Amino acid sequence: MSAYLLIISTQAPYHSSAAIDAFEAALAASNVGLQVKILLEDDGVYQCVESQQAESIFHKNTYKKLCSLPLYDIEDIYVDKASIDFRGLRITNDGKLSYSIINQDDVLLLKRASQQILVF
Amino acid sequence: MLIQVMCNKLDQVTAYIDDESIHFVLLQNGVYLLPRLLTLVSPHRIKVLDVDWRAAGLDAQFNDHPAINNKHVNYISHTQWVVLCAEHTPVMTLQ
Repeated sequence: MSAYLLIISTQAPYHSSAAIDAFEAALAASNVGLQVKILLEDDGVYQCVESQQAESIFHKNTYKKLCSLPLYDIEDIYVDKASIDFRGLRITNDGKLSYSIINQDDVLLLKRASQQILVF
Repeated sequence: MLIQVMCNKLDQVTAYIDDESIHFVLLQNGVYLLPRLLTLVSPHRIKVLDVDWRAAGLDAQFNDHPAINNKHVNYISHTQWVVLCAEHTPVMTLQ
């Protein structure tokens, strides 16, 4: 497996800059030629809730931003299954946002195989 | 007493759940706490800032939750939130 930068986003989409910081870091890294993979973990899994209505708080929709990542050559997006289950979410890969839901063992493998990890 | 919850941390709230006179307003990231808080606290003690709840997109996620689906939870506007803060003493914020 080739070297990659793993960006772990652990915060809910709005009310802090963490989610957007993770997104922009991913774009910047991809822009300079790094292979980037993104892991949504802990409260970060709320970012892939499709029914967000961010316009009600005058934000841009984080789900739609994630959908745009393949345009920047970032196609490996992973979501931690344990974080989804703990929060009682019903998140399925519906095709608009392409991601893989992975278990704890695979999360660990993803982290171990990465060259660098950035946590937001 | 009114507690404004702005974080998704149940452990910060649990110390206050047994006092029936305490009411909770969930806003910002505190709205994510609603499904779990409803397992511990009666819905009439919980208010949720409507715009933050809609921004989170959780209505569709929990539309089969009895309290959320039947609108037993009070979803409030910014104006109602300000009125609540003016009516209650003290107001505590958890973040």
